[in-house]
Formats: sequence, structure tokens, C-alpha cells
Amino acid sequence: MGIHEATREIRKSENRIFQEWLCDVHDSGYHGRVSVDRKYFSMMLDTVAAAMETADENLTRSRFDSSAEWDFPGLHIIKESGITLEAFLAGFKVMIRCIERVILHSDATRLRMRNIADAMELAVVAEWENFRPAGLSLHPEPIQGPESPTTPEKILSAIFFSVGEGILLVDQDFEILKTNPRACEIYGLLEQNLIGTDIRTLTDESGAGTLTLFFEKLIEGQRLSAEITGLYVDGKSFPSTVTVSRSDLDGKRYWPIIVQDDTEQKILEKQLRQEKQQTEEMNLTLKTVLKSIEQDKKDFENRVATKIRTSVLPGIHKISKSSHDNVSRSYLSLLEQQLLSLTKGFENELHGGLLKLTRTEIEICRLIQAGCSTKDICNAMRISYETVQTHRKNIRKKLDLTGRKLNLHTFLMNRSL
Amino acid sequence: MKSIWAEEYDIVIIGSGFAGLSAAIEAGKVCPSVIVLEKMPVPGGNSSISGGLFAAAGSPLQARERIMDSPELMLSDMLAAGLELNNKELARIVAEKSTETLLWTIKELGVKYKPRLSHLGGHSVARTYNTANTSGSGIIKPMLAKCRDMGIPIRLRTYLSQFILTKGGEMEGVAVRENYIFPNRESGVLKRIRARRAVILATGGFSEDKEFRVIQDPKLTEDIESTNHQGATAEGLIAALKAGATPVQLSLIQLGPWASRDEEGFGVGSMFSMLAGFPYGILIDVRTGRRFINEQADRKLLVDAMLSSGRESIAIVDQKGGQHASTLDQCLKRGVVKKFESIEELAAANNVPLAPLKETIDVYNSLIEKGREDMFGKPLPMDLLPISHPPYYSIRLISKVHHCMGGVQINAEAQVVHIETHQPISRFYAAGEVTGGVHGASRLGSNAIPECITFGRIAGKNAAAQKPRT
Ligand SMILES: Cc1cc2nc3c(=O)[nH]c(=O)nc-3n(C[C@H](O)[C@H](O)[C@H](O)COP(=O)(O)OP(=O)(O)OC[C@H]3O[C@@H](n4cnc5c(N)ncnc54)[C@H](O)[C@@H]3O)c2cc1C
Repeated sequence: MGIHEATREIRKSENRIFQEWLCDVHDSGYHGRVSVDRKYFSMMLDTVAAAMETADENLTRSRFDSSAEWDFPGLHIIKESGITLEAFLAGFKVMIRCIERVILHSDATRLRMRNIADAMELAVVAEWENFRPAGLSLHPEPIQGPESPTTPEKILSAIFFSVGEGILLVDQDFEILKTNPRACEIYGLLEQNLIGTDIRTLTDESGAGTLTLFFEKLIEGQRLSAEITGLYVDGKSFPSTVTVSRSDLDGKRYWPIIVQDDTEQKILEKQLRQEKQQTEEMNLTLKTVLKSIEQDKKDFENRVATKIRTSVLPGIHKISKSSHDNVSRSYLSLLEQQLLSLTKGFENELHGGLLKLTRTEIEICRLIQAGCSTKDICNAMRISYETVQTHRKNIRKKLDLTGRKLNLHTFLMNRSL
Repeated sequence: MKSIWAEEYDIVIIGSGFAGLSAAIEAGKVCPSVIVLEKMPVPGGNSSISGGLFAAAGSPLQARERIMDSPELMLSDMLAAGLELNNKELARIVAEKSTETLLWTIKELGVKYKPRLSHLGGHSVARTYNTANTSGSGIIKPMLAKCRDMGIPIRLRTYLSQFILTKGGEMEGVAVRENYIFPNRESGVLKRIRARRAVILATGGFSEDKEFRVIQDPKLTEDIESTNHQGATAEGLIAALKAGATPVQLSLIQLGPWASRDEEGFGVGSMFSMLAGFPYGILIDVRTGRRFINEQADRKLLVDAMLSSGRESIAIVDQKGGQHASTLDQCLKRGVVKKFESIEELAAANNVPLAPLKETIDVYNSLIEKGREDMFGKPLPMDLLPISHPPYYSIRLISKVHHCMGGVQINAEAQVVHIETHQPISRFYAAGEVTGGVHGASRLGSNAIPECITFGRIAGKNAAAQKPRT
């Protein structure tokens, strides 16, 4: 087999060589230090194959002695990497062994490939400080996670983490992809719990309906808000405002949602509402008070009119008819008393017992009120002393004053009759 | 003289995970004034992000499926995984009360579980329940709702900084920082809260405390990720030690072998490996394409094997096996689990040598088909199927710090034991991951939840039974 054939063979058998190489690297004790990345392996293999293709039959080591002539296909990707020279060489040598084992049977080609490999090895050693194979970390692919963020990105994420409002990023399945600490606080759930959660489980049925509607009708760049019920981890519900927008990325839709816990605001609003209601109630009371004052005034006028009709006018009538001085005097003072009581308004109390009195009794009471003595009353009413006394006794009984040391005059003083 | 105490409660509980909330619920039935203090702005701790897997021996589902199990068997599994470093008395209580505790969560809290059991590594039989939502939040939420019903406040952002003892050495109360901003220890306002009956410590483990854990286990350097929530740090434990508690096995810290390389923390991949990859699939060394251990071994054995000589491991399962993981869809969506139409594609994408991988699968399948014994000792139950139904799934694994077996010493009554006298510190209880000894060298999967709730309830009941001090 000629060298070119051998090279073709190497390229064709890359898979098998790789499998062998993996096992050998493991057995060699270099595992963990040599990368087992396929890309890296292919690059090394390619280099050897390419070197063999361009090599003439009289190839000597010297062709690789100078790095200037050294044409490494993967050179452009050989850059910073943590791999040690020793580990690189281990992987490389193991590969050469595997190639030999898998395809090269003729001693001649084997020798030539070894020469090329040795030359390459020397060159790499000499130039190690200047270049290194790339991508040779312990872990073939970097463990998922953001590459080191730029300053604006850092600032953005700092804002995301520290803003006073909750932020949730939701995808087409209603699943939460990202949250900030404030959102965790609002719902009482750790980030690990919130991520992957269906956003609709954080609200009630009508809230879920609102969100679904928003997701359906929002166009990119638009923003909609709504007040919906939020559910805290312990099952308590709270008022919240959500502001939903939409952004499309790589053909997928995402909805950033800003959440505000309105509990405190609602408390303030409630207080305001209560205060307003109180003032309204007060207005109403004032109105009724004014109305009743109006009514009272009317009542008062009516009473005055009635009183003049029932008490004052008959008195005047009696005086005009009477020839006795004594009688007229009594009636005059009675009139004075009646007129006075009219000016007094409503301050006088009405006593239940007063309603039980007969007309004669009321007349006697009015005279007593006016300060008339029993004798005055006898004269005024033209009845006997005894009769007045009996009336007085009955009045006291009706007013529940029997046995009490209360003067009838005093009792009647502030009462309207 | 002005009192140093700003507030006073019958019972003061620190930590709002499984242990703290179960204690609160039990104590609240007896005492009118119970308070739970939590340093984070969100309640629940590790409990709420846990997988919600709950081991119970002699459970109703086992009876239905005719699985023979007993607390004795569970205890012997615990001792085997724990290398007999367990505190046997405490371990026995967990095993004996596991089913009672499970039923309590169902009857008293209304927790919903899936209607089938899982068989986790290191357990002799299938005895693991899983919450309906595949998460510990399925238990934490009903617990928080119960506390709300009972009027037990959970005061967030309140950080325990110190315990305060009487001259006679009784636990009297705590110094806290209110409006604390994690992790700034100077933040917040200092305040002292007195407990008329007792204080209960339930601050969980310290897997996220990189400084403290590397002191205990120098192999656990900063660059090793953990599955825990951010607040899983050691201050609660340290405060207890300062108050005279006895430390137990603090250096026994467990790594989880099932975590994904392609996401942070516990994520969705861990449950995929636990429920599908390990029991129904195989674990492969990427460099050799071959199995190297019983996939259903206990976590410690797995991690030790996976970390030895810098192995890189993936788990492989087929379509039939993948169905057992309720998180499969989410795993695929997040790229944590990859799907392939053939083993060839799977091998190429994972840089696994194809020939040995194919051979490994063939050998494994024939073991199952012919009912032979596995050379690594993996139990091959009757219903196990060969890996032959495309699509095939793979997950790239990396071990992450997961659980602290060590903590403060407690007795069977959940009382904290004094380091000098070996007697209980009066009016001081502890429960959950902050305590040590139950699991010995390695905690079996799904055994923490029964432990935390069982001892949380014991602590709550006993604390409430204390006579209030005047
Ligand atoms: C990702 C993950 C998945 C898991 N899955 C399972 C599973 O499926 N099954 C199982 O059995 N186990 C599982 N575990 C283990 C189990 O969840 C934990 O051991 C258990 O939740 C611990 O409960 P806890 O109440 O002791 O502590 P935690 O739930 O961690 O609660 C402790 C609380 O105390 C607070 N705290 C700490 N220090 C202070 C302080 N100084 N002041 C105030 N508050 C403080 C913390 O912030 C935290 O909220 C899992 C663990 C993790 C991390």
C-alpha cells in the first residue's frame, strides 16, 4: 500500500480509529488530562493525513524541523487552552499507534508515517510556547452557562435582579423561563420552583383567562396591563397588576411580564374610599338635619298657632267677659305664662302623665304653672277650695307624685301643657 | 428594669422547611402563640425545591402492589448505606414512623401523591412515594396553608444570630436580625425574642456554605456545585454549637450522582436519572462505552465510582424506560436530556466508542432476557425491559453536593444534647437536616422527608408540652 492510499484509508477509517483512541487514552492513564473531544481528534488526524499527502517518498525529518515550513491545518484554531504539552503528546502518540493498528500493515508506510509523526512531534515541542492546540479543556464542550458577560450585560442583569417589580419571562407553553428575586418574593416561591411553572397556576381562573387572551392578541412591541388575582404560596390571594409585552426571538414568542403586588396600594385605596364614603355620609346627615330643622320650624309655627287658638284666645275671651278684678288678674297672669311658654320653644319636656289629665285638671295645672295659689284658682275657676284640693290630689296621683316631696309648681315649671 | 425582650411567644421555631413547619403545626394545636422565623425572603428552604420523594415502609401502595416491606427492612437498608455509622435509635424511629408520617401528610394536610411507587437506589424494595407535582412544594404549600389557617405567622427575612440561655443553662430565647438581607450578616435590626416554653432549631443543612463545608470535607472545594437553595448555610448550626450543642459527623456530606452537567443545581435532570436513567437504564463511562457499577447502588458508592479516575458518565435509557420520569418533557425542552433515533447517533453525539457501547447494551439486555445475574449486582426485577426501543435518551452527569448527614445531636425526644453534660439542654429542640446521625455515612434517597417531618412533629409536640415559664 502506497502512502497516498494509506492516507485515504486513514480518512475513511476515522471513526474506527477514534473508537480505538478513546479506549487507549483511557487505558494509558492519561484520561482526564487528554481531551476526548471528537473535534480535537479530527484535527490531529487531519494534520497527520495532510502531512502524509504532501510528503514525497523521500521525506525526511528536516522538512518539519523549521516551524516556518510546518503547515498545520488546524493552526488557526490552535490558541489558548489549558492542556499541557505532555497531555497533548500523549493523545497524539496514542493516535499514531491506533492508526497503525487499524490500517497500516506494510512496514514501509508505517515507517514513513512514524517519521512524519516524529517530525511533527519535534516541531510541536520546539514551538510549544508559540502555539497550542485549541479546545483542549478537560470538558469537551463548555458546561452550559453564559460566557463571561460584557459590562452592559452585567449592568442589565443587575437591574433585572434588583428592580422593585417582579419580572417573569414566559414562553409559548406558558412556562416560566426566568424570574427575578422580587417575583419570587411576591409569590413566596424560590426561583427553582418558579422556573418551569405554568404562569397560570399563579393566578385564579379569570386571571388565567386574561393572560391567555393577552398572549393570543398581543402583537410584538405592544403592551397590555390588567389587574388580576395573584396566589401566594400559602394559598392566600392578593391583588396584582400584570403588564405583558411580547418579544419574538428565533421564530419563537416570549412574553416578559412585569408583576406588581397591589396589596398595599389596595389598602390605601380602601382607606381613601372609606374616607370619601364617610364625608358623603356626613353630607347626607347634614341634609337630613337641615330638613328636620325646617320641619321643626313648621311644627313650631303650627304649635304656636294652635296654642294661640286654644289657650290665649279663650283667656282673652274670659277676661273680656269677667267683671271681677281678681279673675281678670289671674287670667292675665295665665296669659303671660302661656305667651312665655310659646317663646321658650322646645326645651320643655313632655311628661307621659300629663296626657292623662282632664281638661279641668290641665287648666288647674296651667294656673299652678302660672304661679296661682289654690285660692287664686278657686276664684278664677269659680269652684270651691275643697274641689281644687281634690283636683290637686288627683293630679299628683296621675303624675306619680304622691308621697314624694315634690312641689307641683316646681314639677310643672318646665313642662309644656 | 427594662426587659431585653422585644417580643414573647410560647414557642419560637427557626426555619420554615419540612422540619420547622411540621413542628409549628403540632405545637400550634396546643399553644396559642407559635412563631416561625425564616431568614430568606421566601419560605420553604430546600424542602420546597426537593423532589418530593417519600420513603415509607409498609405503606398502602405497597400493600396494593403486594410488595413485602417492614420498618426492619428499611432500617437495615439505612444501616447498610450508612455503613453502620447511623444513630440506630433515631434511624429506627424514622423507619418505624415512616408510614404514619406519610399518612399524616395525606390526612391532615391533604398532600397528593402519584398512585405508584418508585424503587430508588439502595432500597431493597420499591417504597418511595412521590408528590403529584414531583416536588417538595407539593408538601410545603399545604403546610403553609395550614399554618395560615391556624394563625401561625411565618416571619420572613428574620435571621437567627444567637441563642440566649438563662444563667441555669436553659434555652430562653433568640437574638435575631429583622429585615435581614441575605447573605449580609450585618443587615437588619437586632431584636430579642423570648420563648415561654421552648425554642426549636430547624435550619436545614449547609451544602451551599462553601466556606464551612470545605473545612469539614477538604475535597468539597468551591468549584463543586450544589443542588441546594442559596440559604443552605451553616449559621443556625453554628449558633447551636455556640449554645452548647454536640456536633455529630459534620464531615459526612453527600454528593448526588444523578445531577446534570447541562443545568444548574438539582434542576429537572436529577429526577430523570433517579426515576428512569438509573433504575431502567444504564450508566456508562464515556471513555470506554462500558458500565462500571450497579446503577441502583446507594449514592455514596455511585459517586465514589463516578469520581474515581476522572470518569465522565452518562446515563442511557430507551423510550420505555424514559416514560418513568415525569420530568422528561422538561428535560428535553431544556436540553438536559438528549434524544436519538439510534444508539449510533447517541454514541457519536456523546463521544462514546460505539463498539463497546453496543456490546455493553447487548450483554445487559441478554441478562434481562435470560434472567441472569448482573456482575455489578444490579437488581433486575421481573418487569425490567431490555434497552431496545428507540428513541434513546442520554443525560450527561456530574456529581453535586447534596445533603449533610451530620449536624447537632438530638435524642429520641428531639431534644438537643449538651456537649459537656450529655444531658438535654432544657427547652431546646432540633429537627431535620440540621441534626446529625440518622443516616450515617450516606442518606438513602427519599429518606430525608420522612426524617424531617417525623422529628419535626416530635419536637413540636414535646416543646408544646413544656410548662410555660413565668
Ligand atoms: C434539590 C433537593 C432535592 C431533594 N429531594 C429530596 C427528595 O425527593 N426526598 C427526600 O427525602 N429528600 C430530598 N432532599 C433532601 C431534603 O429535601 C432536605 O433534607 C429537607 O428538605 C431538609 O428540611 P429541613 O426542614 O431540615 O431544612 P430546609 O427545608 O432547608 O429548611 C431550613 C430553613 O431554615 C432557614 N434558615 C437557615 N438558617 C437560618 C437562620 N440562621 N435564621 C433563620 N432561618 C434560617 C433556611 O433559609 C431554610 O428555609 C432534597 C434536597 C434537595 C436540596
